[in-house]
Amino acid sequence: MFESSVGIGVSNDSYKAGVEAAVNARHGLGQEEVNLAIVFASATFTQVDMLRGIQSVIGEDVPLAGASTAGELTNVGPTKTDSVVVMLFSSDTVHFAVSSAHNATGQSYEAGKAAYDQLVAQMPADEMKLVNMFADGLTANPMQIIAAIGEAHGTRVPIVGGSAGDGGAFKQTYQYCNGTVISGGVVLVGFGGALNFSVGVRHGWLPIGAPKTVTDAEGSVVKKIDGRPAIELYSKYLGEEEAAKLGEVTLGEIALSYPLGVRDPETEEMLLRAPFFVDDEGSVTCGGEIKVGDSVQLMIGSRAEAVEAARESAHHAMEQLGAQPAAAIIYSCHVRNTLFGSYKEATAEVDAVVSEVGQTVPLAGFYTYAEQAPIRGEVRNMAMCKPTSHNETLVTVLLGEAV
Amino acid sequence: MSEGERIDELKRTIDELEDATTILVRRDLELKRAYTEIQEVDKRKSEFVSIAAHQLRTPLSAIRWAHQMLLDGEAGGDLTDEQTLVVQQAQQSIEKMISLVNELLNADHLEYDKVSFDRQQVNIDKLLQTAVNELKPMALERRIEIALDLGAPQAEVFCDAERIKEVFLNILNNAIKYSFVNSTVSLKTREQDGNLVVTFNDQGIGIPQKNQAHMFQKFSRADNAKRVDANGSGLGMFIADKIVHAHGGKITFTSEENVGTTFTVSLPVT
Repeated sequence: MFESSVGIGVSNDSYKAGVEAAVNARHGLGQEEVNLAIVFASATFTQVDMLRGIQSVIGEDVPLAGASTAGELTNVGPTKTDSVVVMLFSSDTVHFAVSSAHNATGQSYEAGKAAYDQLVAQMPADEMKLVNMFADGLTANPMQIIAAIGEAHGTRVPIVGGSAGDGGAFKQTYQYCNGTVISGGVVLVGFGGALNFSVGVRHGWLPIGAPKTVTDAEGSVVKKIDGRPAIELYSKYLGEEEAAKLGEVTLGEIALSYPLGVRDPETEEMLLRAPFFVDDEGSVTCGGEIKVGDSVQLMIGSRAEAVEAARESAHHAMEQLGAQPAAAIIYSCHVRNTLFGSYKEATAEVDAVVSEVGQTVPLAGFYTYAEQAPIRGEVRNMAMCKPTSHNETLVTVLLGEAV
Repeated sequence: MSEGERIDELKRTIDELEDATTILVRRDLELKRAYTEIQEVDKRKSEFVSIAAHQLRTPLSAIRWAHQMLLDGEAGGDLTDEQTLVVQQAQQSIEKMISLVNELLNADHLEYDKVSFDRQQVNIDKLLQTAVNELKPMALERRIEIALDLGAPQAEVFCDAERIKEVFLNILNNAIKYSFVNSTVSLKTREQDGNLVVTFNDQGIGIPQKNQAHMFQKFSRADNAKRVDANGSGLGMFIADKIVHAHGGKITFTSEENVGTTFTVSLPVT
């Protein structure tokens, strides 16, 4: 048996919002025991009070993991107001464990390893089928956390997740582990036992123009491309006036519409990096790590293609699962939501996923500051399973029971 | 061609491609901005409809109230029979206008997601029975029999009862209005694959093939429907589709001209 249920809480009172979401989700599970709670909530709530509200319904012993968001999602679309979305799981065959590390700022690798070690203490590595991570979306480096988990695990392990958001304020995000609220940390969820799962990953943008090489970079800051200031990639194609807007407005029209594409040398897949800021030297700070030697291109896309990519992400995951899912989790980039610009268009993205997954499958998700998933959603051929961190991408995670 | 010449030619080709890319990207940006502008115009149009409708509703309500006072003899005494008839006719026209204004506002609110739904567990069989009761007088007048087959007495849907009833009323109203006299409208509820499915089958004029693709668009009316009722707003099915969609369900239909139409509303059971 493997079941899930989703509840939403929208009360202005943080505690009551937690209670409301948990009660709604609990109702959907009937009499079944709750074995795991995943929580996505607006950063505007008093986080501890909100978690207390949830725990007052499900109990303090139920493993709980989650993150603050840049918008919460359920199968009817984005929630229209600040909300708490609780997804509860019940299973006698699938096992769950949660862990956390507090200090991922500047030491993301160490934090990733510490959290993974805690996870393995609860669930042996050879039993672990899937790891879900919730890292701080502002201060943690998800690539370092992925590397730490991968190395500690020994063999390749599928990693999915979403980096915590704060509604686009870019000030402080939160991660939840049981009753504790963390900032600047990482929370992991391990899924083991009779788990059947699949992952879909699509963004919908296409590379345009000649490939170029990053010649100077540090972390997520691209300083030079082909020996010239990184901003010149934008001024070349769009003109200096338009490129200057990248530095004037955070996540403005140009950044949303024309992200940077980084070619993964192993799979040839183009990973997106949203350009966030430009400094006086023309260096571009992106929403993810870029290394010297990376091949980059300008990417071009549209709202309609972004919606179609969401459908393809869910379609791929459904094909791979080959069975009715017990739960669906989606991680969609905050940038996509900003690009959609309206509730109506943002709902179209969720509708596209639901049209593939099915209306009756419980679905929870959130708008993230980065999405983690194996490139192309490859989780069947483990030799090709390469977890990484994405931007402007929609990740569909489907969970079911192996038969 | 020497190696150097080949490299030069390759460089020229790359430069030409880069120039073409520049043109393409700038054109793409222009198109994106044009699309955003169209959306803005659409938004302003919606705001205009909303304001105009609100502005109309208040004086219309005042006129209706004044007419009622005249009919009740509270504005200078009883009216003559002839005066009563004139005021009653005016009253009917006012009611139609108020109804149209309300539909316009309703459609606008649903289209631009300005509606909040008051959801609770609702027994759909009972809700459908209520909708049928409300339209029974209309069916009797047109000599239409309504055959109810309620097959999901226990099933509940987490929905806004008033809104879902509005959907049922819209579909049933059309079914009665466009049915041939002395025919039967059959309603059926069933639970299927986690959904509560309600079907409305009529024996009527049907929807011509060429109009079917536009059935759920705003102000869309089938050619033959205009001949039966020239004054329909063409908003009913648009509103119904929006409400059902907002509840995670869907409406579909099959229709054959001069044979009949079957509408199917599917809502997820909770």
